[in-house]
Amino acid sequence: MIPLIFFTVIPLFTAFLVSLLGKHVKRSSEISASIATFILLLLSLSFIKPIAVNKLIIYKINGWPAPLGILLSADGLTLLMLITVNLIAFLVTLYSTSYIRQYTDEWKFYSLYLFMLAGLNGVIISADIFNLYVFLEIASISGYILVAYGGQAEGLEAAFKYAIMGSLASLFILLGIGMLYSYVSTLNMADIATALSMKPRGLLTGFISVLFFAGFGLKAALIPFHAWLPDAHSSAPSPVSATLSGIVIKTIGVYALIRVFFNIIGVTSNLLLVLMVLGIVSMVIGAILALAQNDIKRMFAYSSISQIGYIIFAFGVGTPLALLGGLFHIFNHACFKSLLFLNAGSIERACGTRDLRKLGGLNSKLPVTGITSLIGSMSISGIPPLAGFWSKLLIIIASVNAGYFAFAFIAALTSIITLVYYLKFQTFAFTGNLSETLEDVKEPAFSMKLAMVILSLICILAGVFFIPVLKPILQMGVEALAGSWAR
Amino acid sequence: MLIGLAIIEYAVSLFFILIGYRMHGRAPIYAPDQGIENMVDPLPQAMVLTTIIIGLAVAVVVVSLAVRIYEKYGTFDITKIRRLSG
Repeated sequence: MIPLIFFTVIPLFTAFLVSLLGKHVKRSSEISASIATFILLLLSLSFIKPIAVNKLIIYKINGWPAPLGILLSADGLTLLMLITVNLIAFLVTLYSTSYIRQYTDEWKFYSLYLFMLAGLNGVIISADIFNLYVFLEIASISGYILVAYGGQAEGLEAAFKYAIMGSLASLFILLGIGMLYSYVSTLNMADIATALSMKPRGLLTGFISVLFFAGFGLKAALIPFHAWLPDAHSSAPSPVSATLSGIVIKTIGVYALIRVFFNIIGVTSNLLLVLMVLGIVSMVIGAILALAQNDIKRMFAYSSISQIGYIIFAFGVGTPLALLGGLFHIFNHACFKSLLFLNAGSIERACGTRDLRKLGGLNSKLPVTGITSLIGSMSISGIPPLAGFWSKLLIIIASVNAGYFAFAFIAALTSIITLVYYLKFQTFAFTGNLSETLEDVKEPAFSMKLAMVILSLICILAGVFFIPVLKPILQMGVEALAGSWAR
Repeated sequence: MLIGLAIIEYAVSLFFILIGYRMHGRAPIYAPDQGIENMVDPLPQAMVLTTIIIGLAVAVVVVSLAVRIYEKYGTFDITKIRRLSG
């Protein structure tokens, strides 16, 4: 079997290769980036079977044993995140091969993109909490630069905001790691969990929890910490927004949050309540703010906040069924939100504007974009039998089972608001009369269409084949979260 | 804002040094005539080194962004840099 470390080695090496060759050999950067992300996707799929058999795979860097060396580990949750991240990364790279040509210095984009991917994969497989921080910073710093990649005033302003908020969040996390280390004298996640379970839960544990919560909450854009997200996600180039919204906030925000709280510090009823309330608040406020937007990408960005609210709410409910729903929603949201951002990119590319009031009647001109975005919108607003319906249903059923009727009602209501603003997007952009300025718009290039079609197929197939194909993988993720992390 | 960020980062670095510090400690080097008592913890020092490097990267990114913003907006006043809202 291939060692786990290749998940970070391949993108780092390719990023190096791209920056070496990209300037001189034409188109080498996009080809090598596509190949690298495709290999990563295959690699992550190849881990399904070993993890199903062994439950936990550990890789020791340089062969040093646990307390001294640095460990990488993979369990069910890791597997799910790896598949999601590498799938979206591959499709977005495919899309970028034609989209990024409108900018200068394409190789810089691919190089930064691969660095970000290395950071994300590193966060997921790391079993050492300081290593997690380092990878998180790699991913975030390349994220800041990618937001500013277009070089327009809006992008720069958004990137500056994102960089300040993001660095602050990282420093919170770092301070939390420092305090945790001074308390338990180890950095290995499993060892921390064991050491913490032997000590009484004092004030320090609470303070560390607050620091981690603020840090990862900022990265995940939960509602009191959300201010940077709509700017950053709407001003970045579309493939970057698709990645940021689809996988970055989930990996360095939600995944790291649940990993730290469920597997290391351990959940308490207070923490679950905080997660649940913040989830509900993000869900509702995100949806209402999205309703008021006229810029397509800003609307999608607020919608991301709302959907992250669903995921956090599901983890707050905390029953195995809710965890299953939450993990499934992570996968689904990655697929349909990336799809919608890619759609927004192709609309912007074709029409030169993202303002809903200036668009209309695009169905006749952009049929592929129209159909794929219809599928994405239906999936995100929870129309059966698409994937989004099942994950929202699971979350709502789980919260009813756990006795949170009011919260379940609000979640169902938010789903209707979601439907309303996606209907607004569909009506304004794709139906109605074509305005005269848009007479000569054309469908985007083949690779962009291919990426969008594959993503919309995944949205449909994930809904139809949820039980036979995806459920075992998700179940492994739930087991990894619910079980203690003893080695 | 940039200076504030740098100060926070140095504060966190100092905190790490404090974790590793031990009264009358000595460098953690094995020598034949000394036992392993009273050594300072070397791990936080390694972490601080990493933190400083990451801080440098962040500073470079943020400062270059600030310079580009100045080119576009003609000001460093963040109350005037608000083309994005809502």
